[in-house]
Amino acid sequence: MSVMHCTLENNQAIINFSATSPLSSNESMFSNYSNLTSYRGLIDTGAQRTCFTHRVINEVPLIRHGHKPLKTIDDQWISRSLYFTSIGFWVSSEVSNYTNDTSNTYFALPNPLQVYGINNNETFDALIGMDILSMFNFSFNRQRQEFEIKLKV
Amino acid sequence: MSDQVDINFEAFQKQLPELLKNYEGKYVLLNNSKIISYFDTAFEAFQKGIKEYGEGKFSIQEVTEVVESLGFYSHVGDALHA
Repeated sequence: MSVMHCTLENNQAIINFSATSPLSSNESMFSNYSNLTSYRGLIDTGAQRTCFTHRVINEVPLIRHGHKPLKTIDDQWISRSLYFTSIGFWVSSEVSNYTNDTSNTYFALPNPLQVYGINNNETFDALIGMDILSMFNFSFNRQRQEFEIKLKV
Repeated sequence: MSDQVDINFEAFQKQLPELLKNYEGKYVLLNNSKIISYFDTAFEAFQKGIKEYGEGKFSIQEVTEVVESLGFYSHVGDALHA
C-alpha cells in the first residue's frame, strides 16, 4: 500500500505535490524524480475541482485553454481560466499501518487534469479538490496528526 | 488584446443555449470564434487543438449549464477576486 502524508498546519491539511505540462510529461506512474519543484497543496473537500495559483501556472508553465463561469457566495458571476496539467505526489510504502519506506517515490496521476487558475496567497500553492481526492481513500490519523491518502495500486 | 480563449468564449456563450439541445456533456474545440469539432473528453480536444493549431491558438469549452463550486475557502479568501 502506498500512502501520501499530509501535514496538519493550523488545522489545515497540507500536501506536497508537483505539476508538469501534459505536453512535456512522459513519466511513468511511479518514478524517482528529484528535480521536480515541490508545491504546497491545501486539501479542500469543498472544492469540486483542483485550483492552482498563478505562481504555479507561470512556473510550470501551463497553457490556458478555456474559461468556465463560476458563482460566488454572494451570487456574483465570475469567469475563471482552465489549464491542463499532470500532477503527482510523493508517496511512502506502508505495511499494516507501519511506514517502512520513506524514500518518497513520486506518483504521477495517470491522466491529465483541468485545473482553475486562482490568485496567489501566502498559505498554499493549490487547492487539492475532490476531483483528485475522490480517486483515493483518505482519512485522518489522530495519533500522527496527519491526513493520509492511500493508493490501491 | 483579447486572445483566442477570450474571443472563443464570447462566441461560445452566445451559442450555448442551442448547443445544449444536442451536445450537452461534449467538449468543443474552437478557433477564431468558430466551433471546429466535438469531443467526449476535454483532453482529446486539447490534443487535437495542439496538433492542428498550436499552443494558444485554440480553446476548449464544455457544453454544460452546471456551475461548479470551488469551496468555502475560495469564497471567504481572496482566491477568486482580483
